[in-house]
Formats: sequence, C-alpha cells, structure tokens
Amino acid sequence: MIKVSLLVTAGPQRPGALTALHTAQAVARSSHQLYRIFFYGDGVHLANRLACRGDLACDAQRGWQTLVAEHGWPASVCVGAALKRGISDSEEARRAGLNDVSGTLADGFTLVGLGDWVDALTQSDRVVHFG
Amino acid sequence: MADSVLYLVGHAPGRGGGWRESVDMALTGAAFGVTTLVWFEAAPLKVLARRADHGDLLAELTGFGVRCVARRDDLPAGLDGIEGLDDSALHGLRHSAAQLVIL
Repeated sequence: MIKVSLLVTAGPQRPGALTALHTAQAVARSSHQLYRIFFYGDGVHLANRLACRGDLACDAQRGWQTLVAEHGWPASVCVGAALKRGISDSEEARRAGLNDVSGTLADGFTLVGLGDWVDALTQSDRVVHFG
Repeated sequence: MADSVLYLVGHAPGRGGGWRESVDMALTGAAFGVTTLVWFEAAPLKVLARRADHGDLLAELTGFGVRCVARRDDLPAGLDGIEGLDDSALHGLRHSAAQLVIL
C-alpha cells in the first residue's frame, strides 16, 4: 500500500478538476491510501458550496462536494487562497465580520495552512498534481 | 516521500495572485526543510526584468534558500539571483527533483 496525495490547482471549468476527481475515486477504491487532497489556487473554487458557473464547472463542483461529504476524504483547502476567492468557513467568516456566518465552504472540506501541503509532500509516497 | 520539489512558475508578479501563491508555496516548503527549486518560465522573467523591485522579489526566495533557475536563453540581463542553465542542466534538475509542480 502506498500513500497518495493530490494537489488540485485546476479550477472547476478546467478538465483537470474532473480528472483529479476520477483519480481520487480510483485511489479510494484501490488498496492504496488517499492521504490528503490539497486544493490551491483556483482549485479552491471546487469547495465553494454556492458557486455554479456552467456545465463542466457544475459537474466538477457537485462531484467533488458530493464525494468529499459522503466518503470523508481528507480534503484540505488552503485558507489564504480560499479567503482571496470569497470562500470561508463559519469561523473565518465570523472573524472577518461577515453577516453570513455559515460560510461558503462545502461540507467535508477543511481550511488549512500551507503547512498541510508540505505535510502531504513529505509524508506521501506519491503526489499527483492536477492543474 | 519527496525531499525536494521543483516548481515551474509561469505566473508573473503583479498579474492576479498567481505569483504570490507560487512564492508562498515555495517558501513554505523551504521553511520546513524541503529542498526547493523554482524554475521561471519566460513570461515572468520578462515582467521581472521590467520591474524596479525585481531584486526584492527574488531576494524573498533566494534569501530563504530557494534556488531560482531559468533557461539561459530566456533570462534577461540584470536578474541577479536567477541562474541561467542550458537545456540539459534543466532536464537534469527535472529528473533529480522528487516532485515537479507546474504553477
């Protein structure tokens, strides 16, 4: 068994977002461990529960959000990249003084710092990047 | 498990947040002791060469132990801190890095 992590920087409108999703499904079904999925750059939009921009984008967002919530995948979203793009959890929203304290982060995703990326890099046997 | 990472950076400073995010990712790895290299594509090099603050922008990386490289033919004059390498040397770096991330 090997530990596999995914780095997803592809936004919802890019084919890489769906390819990453299919890869995560394949790893989860295999005997290997899905150690961490790290969303960075435009990839953080995949964790926005309120966004819906078009066919491919919607498929990617719905697919990611459904599977992360159902299967409890270790889905880490960079907090800096997320806040810049209007994605926050209730704690960050409250800290920023926003009225919608429920936040926009979809269920199952967690806001983390870049240290979690380094953890994925150093603890995984293989890291696959989808940009 | 990756103990070295090569970031191929195509984002230029001052255009969206791509540069900042690339730099932050590289610096965080370096801070945790991961051997970190940044290979700049031609587009950010052209922008860097035009900016008066290019020295500060590059020092942020090199001062943290990040090795910055570029294809020798792409490297404008005056960008101290970035090593110009030929294709075979870049090919070697790409193969020796445990992880390649294209940003």
